[in-house]
This record gives sequence, structure tokens and C-alpha cells, in this order.
Amino acid sequence: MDRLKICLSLPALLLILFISAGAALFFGAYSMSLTEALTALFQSHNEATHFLMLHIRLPRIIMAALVGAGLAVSGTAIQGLFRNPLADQTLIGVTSGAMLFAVLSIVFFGSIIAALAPFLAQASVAIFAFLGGLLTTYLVYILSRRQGKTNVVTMLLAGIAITAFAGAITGIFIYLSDDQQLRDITFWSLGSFSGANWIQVSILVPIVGVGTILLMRYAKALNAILLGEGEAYYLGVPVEKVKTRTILLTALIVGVCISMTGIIGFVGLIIPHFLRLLKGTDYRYLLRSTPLVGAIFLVLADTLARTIIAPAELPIGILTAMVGAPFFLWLLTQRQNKRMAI
Amino acid sequence: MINVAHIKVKKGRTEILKEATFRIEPGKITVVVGKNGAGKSTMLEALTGSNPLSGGSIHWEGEAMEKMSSKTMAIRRAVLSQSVKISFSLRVGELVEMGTYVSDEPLPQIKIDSLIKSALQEVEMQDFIDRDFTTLSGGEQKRVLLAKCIAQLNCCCWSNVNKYLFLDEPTANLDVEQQFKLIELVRKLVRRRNVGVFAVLHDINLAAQFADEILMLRDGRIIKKGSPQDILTPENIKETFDIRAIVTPHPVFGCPHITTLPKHISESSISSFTKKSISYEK
Repeated sequence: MDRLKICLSLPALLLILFISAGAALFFGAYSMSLTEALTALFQSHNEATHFLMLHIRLPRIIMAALVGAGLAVSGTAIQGLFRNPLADQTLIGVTSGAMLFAVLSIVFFGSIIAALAPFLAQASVAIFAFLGGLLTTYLVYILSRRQGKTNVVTMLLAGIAITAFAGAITGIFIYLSDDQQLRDITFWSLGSFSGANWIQVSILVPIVGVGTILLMRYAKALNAILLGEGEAYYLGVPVEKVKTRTILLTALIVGVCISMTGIIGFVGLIIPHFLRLLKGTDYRYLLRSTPLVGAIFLVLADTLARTIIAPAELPIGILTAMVGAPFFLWLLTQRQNKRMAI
Repeated sequence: MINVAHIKVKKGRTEILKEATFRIEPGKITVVVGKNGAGKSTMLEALTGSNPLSGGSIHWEGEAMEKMSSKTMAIRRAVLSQSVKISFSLRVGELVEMGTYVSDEPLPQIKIDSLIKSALQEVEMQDFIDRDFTTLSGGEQKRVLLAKCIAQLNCCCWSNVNKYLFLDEPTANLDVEQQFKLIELVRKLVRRRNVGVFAVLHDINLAAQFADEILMLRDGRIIKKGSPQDILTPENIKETFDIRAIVTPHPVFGCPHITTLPKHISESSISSFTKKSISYEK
């Protein structure tokens, strides 16, 4: 257990992240020896491998790490806010909204935008998904507000209802789509890092970075909210402010992440669970460690996704669910065995 | 001193609290009693700032409560809730530590640890520091929650600020011994630290022993207030609780001791019962 504790300390997790990211650089559809890879990374003798390293693998790995961090940290914050171990970002509607608008963009606006503004064509799905995510979260949020207070139970239920409604409309568009669009939609809903580039990384760095740091400031507040909102207020926490800002930050982080990669499930749910089971429920630790573990998880999962059936690629969402679902079941049996509350 | 003047509180459209004017003084214990639904808990929520007033005013040492931030409030008062339900596992030590969150400057870990330890010692739960809170019994949870309140009151030691403790039915879930222990503990806080206490209590006899001042609440209005000796009369008890009561001096403490009786017992049978018990004593 002691060895595990050392492994889960923040410096160790940071080290593991760097090692996994470094290792991920050398694996891929185009296999290289270690020396070959290092030369390719730092010298431009061989244009093709240099380009591959610097403009394909490196941004992709960084993006996987950032998205993993973003999804995991927002899942942690949402579980804390809703005081519910089964909560994740899908609950505030951001995922279903992003999905609906992405489908809308693929089926309808894709061709229009491509004709009007070709430079936006590639980004249109991402922009739509981002706006859709924020819009839906806003809708869920205002539905659950009464007299200046947000009721999280109403929010949870509103989130479920809006998700179902968005799902139905998404269904209509899927029904209307042609074969190619259907394929695009399916791949988007399974998530992928294959389009990663430096522009996306440069958008993700400030949003995930600043968002995570701001969420960390609410660690004590989320700890207090564990006891209930009333108790948190008694302990001096400005509950409404914390709620509004956590939801806003989460929607921003998740919105920008999934707009670029498509939907990647389970990360926001299982990473916080995993750490909570091993280290307990202290958000001062969880909000620092979950982004690191989320980053490690997606870097490794993405490496697997692009090597397992190379030269083809597996959508990352399939892998995270395949690893995530059995793990989640294991977690549930652990909880029953230990008779502990997760 | 907390000055409460003509407060009203609405929940939805119903006015739960219609009129209450009283004072909570440092170093004194004020207890509110009344039937279910009389507005006791609503009153406590209004005083602690978690339920907005629809009329009247509350002033803390002359400062209007609506202008105080949640942090300022938390520095001056701690609240022992009836119970908390949590769905995550949480160590007892971590829970008690939350009492220290109110501190403005980051406290050194040694100081935090000693605050946690001494608070747990006060409630005799120091051996439970690493236990999971959710696995404790109701009474043990209550003591841990009280330790959290003590840590909160001890955390910011401002000598010039009066501190208050609010208790929402503190003795529910506790066995008789623990009830006395809890009350003794609260009394100690009052004596040593001059803490002002406001408590909602169901047990009138406990209120009689515990309180410096009793507020009798009925249908959202304070109908009587005063010291236990002055206001715990059979008439007032009937007006508040709709029950018959015999008030005798407590054999040990001398405070009023209330024997409650169901409504259907007639006057004549009461006197025959009383005679029986007297002859039994002899």
C-alpha cells in the first residue's frame, strides 16, 4: 500500500505522465527505433519523419494529455458539486448539446459553410459543438434556478430531460443523413485525436490550464459541500458563487475538449472514482491528481488506439469504454465488499 | 449580542415565522421549544443566515446580518445540524478539519492538527480520527459534528468578537448518557469561552435544566419568553404543546420538572395517581 501511495503522490504522477508521453512518441503506425525517433525529433535531415514527429505525434500526445486532464478534472468537480458519485459532465448537458450541434453541423451546415467560407470548413464541427455544449449547459442552468439559487437536484433532472430531448433531435438528424455523414457522425461520437494540430493545442492549453487552476481554488469549498450545501454555508463557503463558477468552468473545459475530439466517455467518471477509492475524498488532492491521471490515461489509451490495429486506428471512445466499464464494475464490487460509501 | 426584531420568514407562499423578537446573549443559553411545525427550525435557519427574512431585522453586535458575508458569519458562529448525509467516504479527521476552513490566513499543518485533536478530545472521539464518518452510529456522528463546530469556534481566536453556537435538536439520536455529556460540553463552552448558545430542543425537561431563557413558540409566534422558573407553568405548557402537565421542582437541580400527561386523563384521576406515587415513595 505504501508503494501505491508513493506512486500516487503528485511528483510521481507528473513523472509517470512525462514517461508515458515520451514513450508514446516512439510508438505508432510508422515504427522507428529509439535513435531514429530521437534524430527525427531534433534534426530535420529526414523531412518526413521530422514532420511526423513534430507536427503529427507531438501535438497529438499533448492534446491527449490536455483533454484527459480537462475531462478528469471537470468530472471530479461535477461529482463534488452534485455530491453524487455517479455524476459526470454529461449531467449538465454539455455532452449532449455538443453532440446535437456537431451532428447539425455535419448534416446541414457543413456543406454551406464549406461553400461560403472554406477556411472554416474544418473547424465548423468544432465551433458548433462548442457552442452547442455551452448553450445546453446554460439552458439546464437557468431551468434549475429559482430566486437566485440553483437547485442541484432540479439541475440533475433537467440535465437528464434535456439530454434525452437533444438525443431525440440528434436521432432525427441521423435519420436524415446520408451514408458519408452517418459515418462522420459515428466517428465523432466515438472520439478521436487523429486531427490533432498545434492550433488546437494552443487553444486547449489556456482553457484547460487556467480552468483547472481556477477549479483547484474551490477544493476546500467542494470538501465542505460534501456535507451538504447548508453545512457548507455554515462553514463560510459562498455556495452560490462556487456552484455557478464550477458549472461555467466545467462547461468551458469540457466544451472545448470534446469539440476538438468528439465524445470521449468514462474518463470524467472513472478517474475521480479510482483516486477516491485509493486516497479518499479530499478535493485538495483530487483536483490536483485527477488531471494528471486523466492525462496519463488518455495518452496511453490513444497510443493503444493508434497502434493496436495499425495502420488503421481505433476510435478512442471505444477504448476508454472498454477499459472503463469493466473497471467501473470492479469498483462497484469493491464497494460492496468493503461496505464503504464511494 | 444578537438582536432579533420582529422577524418574519416565508417558505414559498406560507408564512412559517410570523413574529419573533428576542435577544441571544453571549454566555447565555437560549432555548426554543414548541410543537412540530411551530417554526423552530425555520427560526434557526433565519438566525444562521441560511433562510432569508421576509420582514424584520437581525443585528449581530449592532451589525445588520444581511450585510455580512458567509465567511464573516462563519467566523462568529458554528451550527450543529440535526444530521448530515454524505454519499462519499470521509475520514473523521478530514470532517473536523473543515471547521478550520473559515480561517483567513492559511494555517500551518501543526496548528490544524492540534485544533482537530483537541476538538475530538473534547467530545471523547479522539480514537475515531481515522475512521470513515459514514460507518459511525448516529450518536457518534453527532459528536464528530460537534467537534467540527468546536474546531470552527476555536479556529479564529478573535478576543474581541463574541462567538455563538446554534444547535438544532442536539440530543436527538443520543442515548441518555450522551445527552448529558453533550449538554455538559456545551455548558463548558458557555462558561469558559463566553459562547452564546441558541438551541432547538424537543425535550422540555432538558430545556428546563439547560436554558437560561426559554422561548415558547406556537404557530410561528413567540407566545412566552423568560427563565424556566418563570414560564414553565402548566398553563403555558398547555398553550404551547396542547398537553396537560404537572410541574414540580426537580428533586436535585431545583429547576422545574415537567410530567406530561395525555389529554384524556381527567383531573380526579390525576390526583389519585399523585397520591399513589406519594404513598409509593413512603
